[in-house]
Amino acid sequence: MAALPHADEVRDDPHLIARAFVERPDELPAAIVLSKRRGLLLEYDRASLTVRLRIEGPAPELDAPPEPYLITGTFDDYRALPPIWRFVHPVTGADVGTAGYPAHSGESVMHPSGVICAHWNRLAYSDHGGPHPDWGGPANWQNPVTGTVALTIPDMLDRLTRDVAASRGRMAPLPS
Amino acid sequence: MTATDLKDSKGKGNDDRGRQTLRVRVFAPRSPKPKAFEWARQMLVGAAAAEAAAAFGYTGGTPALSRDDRVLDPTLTLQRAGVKDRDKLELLDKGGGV
Repeated sequence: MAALPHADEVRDDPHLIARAFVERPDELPAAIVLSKRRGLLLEYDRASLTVRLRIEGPAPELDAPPEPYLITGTFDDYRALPPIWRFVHPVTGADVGTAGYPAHSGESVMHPSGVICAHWNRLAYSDHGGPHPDWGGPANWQNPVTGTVALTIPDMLDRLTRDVAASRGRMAPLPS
Repeated sequence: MTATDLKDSKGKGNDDRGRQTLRVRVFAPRSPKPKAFEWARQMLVGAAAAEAAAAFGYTGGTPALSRDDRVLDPTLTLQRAGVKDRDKLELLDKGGGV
């Protein structure tokens, strides 16, 4: 087992512990392998502890071109808190609300308000503007009371990419 | 049936005529390498998913199996669900969004 970081190291780099969790073999490295298996490229910015994944989903019309999506995940305070997952503008990376998201379909985690509604997304909790005051707070994310379970980065990305594949168009048109 | 790492299952015979079992590889999101399983054709998909989840170290949730991006009905047998010998399956969690 790796040695715990010294208190001085943590003071100098507050993301040291989160980064250690992110870079565990069953986290980011496994997520990169999963993405490659799906023909996707997972980008990782070590300084900001952020990942980005570009993916295409079905259009609502059969003969229309696929819809582009850009998923971002930020892992400050991981695993004490869940990541911050968003779908953002696929070109600019701007937060464009519902327009960034694939439409809800079946058991999808895409909430109509434009948030990924799962225990493993910090933004789903009411403390962070989300629709859920009933999950015991984001610090309790690893003990989900209901719904889908994903406790590692590849598990979360697996769910997100599957929900994109099952969608039919975006939640709202992209801003022009 | 116990899971085996993929390298242990290579080199086995290719003749599956009359076999009552299916030999498959299951991929899980958090594992870079798949695991090989040998299951009875009449095993329920749900039971196979639970066994695969446990083998990969998953606990809780709603484990399921998919084949060619199609989530398999857990109430069907592997054979009825269309699983073939030497298929590649994927493990996923099909719990509902909230």
